Amino acid sequence: MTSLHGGSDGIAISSLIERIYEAALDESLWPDVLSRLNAVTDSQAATFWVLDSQDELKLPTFGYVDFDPAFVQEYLDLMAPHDPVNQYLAAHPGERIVRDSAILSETERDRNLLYDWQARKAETRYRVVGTISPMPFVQSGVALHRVRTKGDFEPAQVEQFGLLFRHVGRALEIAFRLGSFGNLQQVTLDLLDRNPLAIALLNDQGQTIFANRTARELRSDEDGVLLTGKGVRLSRASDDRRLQGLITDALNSARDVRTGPGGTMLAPRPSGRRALSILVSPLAAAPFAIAALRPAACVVIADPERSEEPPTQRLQALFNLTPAEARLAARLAMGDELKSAADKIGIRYQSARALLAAIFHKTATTRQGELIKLLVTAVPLIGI
Amino acid sequence: MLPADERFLSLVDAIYAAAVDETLWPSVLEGLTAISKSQPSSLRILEDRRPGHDRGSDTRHYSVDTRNAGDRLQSSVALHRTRAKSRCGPNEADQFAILFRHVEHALEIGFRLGTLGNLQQATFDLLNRNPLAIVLLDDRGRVILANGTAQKLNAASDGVRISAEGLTLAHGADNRKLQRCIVDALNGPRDISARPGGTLWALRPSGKRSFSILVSSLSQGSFTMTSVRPAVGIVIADPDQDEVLPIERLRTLYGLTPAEARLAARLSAGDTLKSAAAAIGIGYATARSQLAAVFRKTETRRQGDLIRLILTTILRLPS
Repeated sequence: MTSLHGGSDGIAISSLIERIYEAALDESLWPDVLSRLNAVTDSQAATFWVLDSQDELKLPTFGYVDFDPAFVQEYLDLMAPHDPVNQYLAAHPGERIVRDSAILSETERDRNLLYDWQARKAETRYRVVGTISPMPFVQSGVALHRVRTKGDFEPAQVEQFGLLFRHVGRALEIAFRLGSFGNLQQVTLDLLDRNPLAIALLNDQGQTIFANRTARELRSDEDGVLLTGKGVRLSRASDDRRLQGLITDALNSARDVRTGPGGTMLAPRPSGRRALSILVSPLAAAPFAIAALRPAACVVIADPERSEEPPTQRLQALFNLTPAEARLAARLAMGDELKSAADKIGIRYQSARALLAAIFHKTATTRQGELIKLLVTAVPLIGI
Repeated sequence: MLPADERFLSLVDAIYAAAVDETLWPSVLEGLTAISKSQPSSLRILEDRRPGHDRGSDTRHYSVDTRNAGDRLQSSVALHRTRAKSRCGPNEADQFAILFRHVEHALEIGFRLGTLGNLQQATFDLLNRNPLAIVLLDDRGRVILANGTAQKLNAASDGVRISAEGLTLAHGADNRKLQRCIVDALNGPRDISARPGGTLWALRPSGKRSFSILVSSLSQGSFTMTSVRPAVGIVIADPDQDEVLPIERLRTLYGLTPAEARLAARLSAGDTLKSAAAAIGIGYATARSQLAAVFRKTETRRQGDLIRLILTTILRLPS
């Protein structure tokens, strides 16, 4: 038996601890951690899992070493919900170290469905489990298994496992935090990418650390906005001075608590297309100092020339319009007058007037201005 | 000190505790200083590659551990010894090497958590200031996130209710339709191109114009070890949201006079020129000449064009 306090094994323990935290960042390393835990605690097989007990007991994540794959498959397919250890864990989410010998006596084991099945399929019989509960109804941990011939774990081995599980538990918490951050990140960046406004996040040096899809498109337009890793610039010198001034103001106030809504400006474009509206605003202070990215301010650019015709299908669905009515409504929402809208669609003015009357009726509006406002505000283009 | 003794193990424990909670680094540095019998120790996050030694102090020898955390960014832990204490001995250097490997892992974890956490905070901040109400649900229909506008809708108690259990509507038939859309989105294809995106109206007890609601499934997060599984996104638009007329922004952005800005704001709320003039209390002729100035300053030519400009640029910018 190896002991944590036996000096010569200190290096091995130290390197096992390192490995545990490497696994926190890379799930594929858990089998190696399990093998080393086996060696240190003299167990013969080990598993790593996430247990979900919201409805029926499920193991959505499961890794193992030194078990037969067919045995594991059958366990996951049929036996996991009947495993008394899983049932016990689900009922006692606060416990960190659990031994199956504390749940079932030897004789109870002989009469138990799971242990009876296990006895026929594998040699393992004793288990010690370490677990954390990162959220209600979800637990994650490792289980070490011993074969019948070896007998149950010694108290010293359980104590040793407990010491190492401090690290395993923390590594699992780290993995869950990264996974939660990561999933939310994907969604929020996806939402930013679907925003019709161009959005750039700047760090405390004014360098660009994120640009959404509209911002990237704006850059490729090469029409007055220069967006590089170094920051956001405008091609006209006087406008650029004004923008850099707003950015500096935002960065300075970002260092204090969040102040007002930031500054706005209009940026004319070399092409002569309508000017861009720009908002520069400080962001809530970045909570972490140890981080590769520290967003401090955002630059939001609205392009009035960006074509955003509301999807006619959505207009039809929302207002119960006919396809012809929806086509006309979409043109009106784009700012066209009735006559030019009719021309663009290729219908006569008289027909357009009749369609408009029907649209007014169905949308419960009476004036074109009111209709445009309804169409633009009620058909969210952020369309997640 | 051996790598397996109590002090070593508890220091290693403290190092990884700091990976999860960066405020604990100072106590880790104290531990490193004590165990290595060096004097001050420091943790620096460097923005360039010039790790200079502190001038004006009596420290002379130091061991330093650095790791690259990204382009042009590195962090280091340095242990300093005074001239009188002389250099670290070979055994001490070995100990550092082992301990620093743990510091390195802890810093890597800290950087990953910190970077994601900072980005998270920034994107939440933006989401919160989006003028549309946005609610994210998890794979069981529970609310993960409701942005600032959504929380205001909830507080207004005008037909939309947001609680931890989910999103519900006051009107029975509307609510049944919403719940059906949510179930569809939960079971719908996760392929982005095939996202369903149901739309519906929600009647309001106040009698104001119904909210328009868009429900759609979100791309599934790629992390399985997670406490957050976003599955459905809901956007709620309020066509009657006129409380905040964008007068100030019209003035600063387009240089409108207060009178012109008031008129433009009324028009963007759906008024005709005549009803806008009446609401503000000016004559029709005055309103016409003000409108001409507004057209000129905003580079628009028609009322529809002007309304659209205001609605799609000024009203969409974050609050």
